[in-house]
Amino acid sequence: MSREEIIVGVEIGTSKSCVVVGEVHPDGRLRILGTGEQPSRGVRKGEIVDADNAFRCVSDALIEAEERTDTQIRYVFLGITGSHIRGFEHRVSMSLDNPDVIQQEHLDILTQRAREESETNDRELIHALPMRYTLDGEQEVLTPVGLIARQVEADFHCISADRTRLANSINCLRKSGLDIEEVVAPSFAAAASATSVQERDMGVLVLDIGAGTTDFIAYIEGVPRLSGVLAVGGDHITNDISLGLRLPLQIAERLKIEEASLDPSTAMPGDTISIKGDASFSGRDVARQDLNLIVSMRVREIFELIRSRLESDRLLGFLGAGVVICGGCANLSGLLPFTAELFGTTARIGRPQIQGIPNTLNNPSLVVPIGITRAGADIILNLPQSGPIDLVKNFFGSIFHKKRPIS
Amino acid sequence: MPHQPFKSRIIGLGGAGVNALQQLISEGASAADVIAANTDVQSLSVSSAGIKIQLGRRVSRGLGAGGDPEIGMAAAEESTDEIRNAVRGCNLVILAVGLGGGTGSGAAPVIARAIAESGSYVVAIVTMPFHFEGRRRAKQASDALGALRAAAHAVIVFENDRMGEPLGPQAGVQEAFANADITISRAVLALITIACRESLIQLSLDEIFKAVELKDSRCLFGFGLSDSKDRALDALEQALQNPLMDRGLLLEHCENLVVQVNGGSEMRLIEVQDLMEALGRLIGENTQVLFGLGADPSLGGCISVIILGSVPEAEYTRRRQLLQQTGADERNLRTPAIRAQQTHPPTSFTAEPTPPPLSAATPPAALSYPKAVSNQSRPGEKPPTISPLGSPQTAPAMRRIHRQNPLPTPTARSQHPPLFAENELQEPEPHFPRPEKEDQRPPEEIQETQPEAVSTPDSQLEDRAENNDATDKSAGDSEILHATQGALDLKRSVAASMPQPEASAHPRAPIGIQNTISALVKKFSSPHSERPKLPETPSTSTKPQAPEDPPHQQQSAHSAPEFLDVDEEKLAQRGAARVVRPRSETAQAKQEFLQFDQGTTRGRFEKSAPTIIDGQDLDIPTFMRQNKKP
Repeated sequence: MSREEIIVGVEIGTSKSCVVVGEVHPDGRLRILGTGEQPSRGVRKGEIVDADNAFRCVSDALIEAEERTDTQIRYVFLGITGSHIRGFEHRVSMSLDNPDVIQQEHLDILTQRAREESETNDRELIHALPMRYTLDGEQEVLTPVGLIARQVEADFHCISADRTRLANSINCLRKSGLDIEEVVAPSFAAAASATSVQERDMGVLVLDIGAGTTDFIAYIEGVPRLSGVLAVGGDHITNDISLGLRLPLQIAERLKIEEASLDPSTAMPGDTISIKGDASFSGRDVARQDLNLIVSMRVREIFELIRSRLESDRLLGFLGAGVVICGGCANLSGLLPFTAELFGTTARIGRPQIQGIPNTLNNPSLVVPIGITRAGADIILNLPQSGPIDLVKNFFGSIFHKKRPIS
Repeated sequence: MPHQPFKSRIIGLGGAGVNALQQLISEGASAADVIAANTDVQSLSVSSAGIKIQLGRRVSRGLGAGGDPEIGMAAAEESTDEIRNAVRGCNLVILAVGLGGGTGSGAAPVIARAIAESGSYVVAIVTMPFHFEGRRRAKQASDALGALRAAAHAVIVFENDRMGEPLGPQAGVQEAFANADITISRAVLALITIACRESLIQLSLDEIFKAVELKDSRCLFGFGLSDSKDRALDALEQALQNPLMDRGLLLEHCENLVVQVNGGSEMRLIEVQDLMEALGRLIGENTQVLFGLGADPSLGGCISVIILGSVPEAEYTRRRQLLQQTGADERNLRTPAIRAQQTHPPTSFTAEPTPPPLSAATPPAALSYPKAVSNQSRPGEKPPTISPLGSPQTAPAMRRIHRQNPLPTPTARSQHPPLFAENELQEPEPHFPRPEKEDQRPPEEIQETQPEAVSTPDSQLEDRAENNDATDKSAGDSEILHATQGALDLKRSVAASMPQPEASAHPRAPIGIQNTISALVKKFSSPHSERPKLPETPSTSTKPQAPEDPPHQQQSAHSAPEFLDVDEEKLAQRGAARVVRPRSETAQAKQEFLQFDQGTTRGRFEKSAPTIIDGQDLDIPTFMRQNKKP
């Protein structure tokens, strides 16, 4: 890559469709040019349930982004979420005929093998992220390139998606004549934009609590160890408030954003919030403690589900850099101490860690779309340059690669 | 693959059909293969099916058929081409329909015919409306069923009234509904599994079709899945408990029976052998078993059994009538103990295998008897494909059934007429002379006497006569009979003209009420329901009562002429009396409603697929599930 290239990340979320246009420089620097954002319709729990409406919203967001950045978007990186996204570990191995220097293409073959072995008729692999390599059955290394071995084994953290639901999302964008360059899992994107390499080395859990889903990924010693999607998010909190306090959804949503707190000390017994009536709702007072109880029970449940996953994989004690929370729900009042207590570690709000980012974009709910752009930039930067090795790479690519693996 | 590349599509038609698809997709069917078709745009908009077809854009303008099959039919005719295009090139098209409403009843026959004409094999999986939904819907449903039978290659009928059975009456309402949906979607998935998946022993498509192809026949379908220690037989037992299996008692009348056994890599040959032998004991001499065996790694340590077959409608009806006459409530009938050594040739259902004493619990694995033993016990009885090599004890089977169906506790059972099985267990006093007497008569004779008993009330109700579906008719007949008996019971107990110990405190009565409630609740929640109203025809609540008391039945048979002059008004009065009588039952009914109300409040997620993690539906507010109401 010799000059700047435009990278576009698209996230079709449950509450909003977001497009981020960035410019990546040959040195790897990413500059965000602008965003387009439209409230979503036809998306439930992160999955498209009404293709026409979802398409309309995302094309509005694309047009808005094009107008704001004065670019023409031709291809995009797409974030895909939903309960069908699963993270798992997979081990592949290959033997070399003679002890030989391991080269990048060997690793590509391993990646490809991981893809072939873990894909089925209905599951498609989105990411095969290398966790560790084992040489000759004993020596564990981070990057084996340049080392000599007879046998290489690789453990991948794979993230896969349901083929048809993936196709539904892709088709939604294809309708507008765009090419989908690559599909990115939001959890991976969130980690890419909200955490630093140091944090990932120390061990960090990244939570993206959106409206429809909660995506999580845990990095230990720099590599992803656990990831997944819970189809529970901010909409559930709103729904709980609406059902528990018998309020219309719009008012419940406003209460969640403006009044609810996870800090028990903010509500005294007898504290009430008076809600003004309007045409469709006669005003009422609700007990603040009730509101907080409803919200905290839901958030606690989400966190406990994730914590139990960490516990069963024995990863809970390794989160040196704590928990990073992003997504729309990161703005919930009292969330950080609540999280810190539940996970027994520190917690912070995740914001896009991009240099020179304008204040308006320094928002936890933009972590994922910006992360998708960041991941896209990394993919573009790793594109093969012309050279002898790359020729080989391209050769393998033509045989195996339907899609470029992200690593 | 042994046969050509196989393509199948599933169409959910009408409100109920579209809903069934939702369950299907969450059970793992790929969304691309399912087509949602409805006149009602709203129902389509919440479906996550890959293809959505709005029927009758001009006829119904996106508003649904309003319960009128004529509109459904016109809408389907308008959109026939669209449907045909959607399933072009498919070998197998499965049509999931709830009959009784407008779109389902009207459109299904038209669409089935259109698809069948374009060369695909069409299997319709239909649900019949609840009895309380009224005669009009029942009539629409049975008319549609008749037309559908003529149009589709095979029809598998699920009766809503019987869907809750396998769980037993104490099951939660929600559980019962989930079970009904799961049963239907499993039926669909099972069909596809048998037809599409590569197997160790592969069943070909035409074999499967042969098993269900009989016209004018009832489909038998059973699915079982188990990972217990004794998983093969457990899975078979589960399969036999499916509502469409009729406890496996009709298996002997099947000409062809498809049995597909799937298991993970751990499946052992001996398990398959045991399973097929157990099944072999239930089937008739002439039944040809088409056996498929598949290895499916995703099953892990589980074994799944799918049974598919069909019996002639006449046989099914006959059995129904026998049931009525001998006073056996179907819910009380037990699955023939599949682990038992059969002592009678299964010529009729009265010759059920003897259930063993409940205490005899021995792991079946230790009980394999040599071939000679069971052969001796059943001279001349040999299943066509497998030689019997049974284990002679059935204790685990029976215990399990009791656990699932908690009502007939020993005390309760002592008030009941004995089950046939218990008859054979030699209950000391023969206080139910009639059924026993009948037991000894050949079935033909019973059949001959039966129509007289039921035809009298039948002639009074003109609607029934219009039912062209034989089974529906017989079911309806039975209910009328039960109703009159129930009323008679009541009359007697009030007048105290006859000692009636069980009439007022009938242990099974609440079940009937619960069934009605669950039916009502389902109706409320069903998208294509009419305005809810009380059952106008004799409801299921009386159904279990009459057959339980053979002395009554005898009486009612004798006094049948008494009801010759019964008119609608009297029937209504009796209905009213029925509602008033069980005070405690209405209280229980109310409670059931409240529980249901609390358990399923999903708010804005009401129409989306549930998010189930660790067995909990996370769409329901946490505070409700953890019972901390603010």
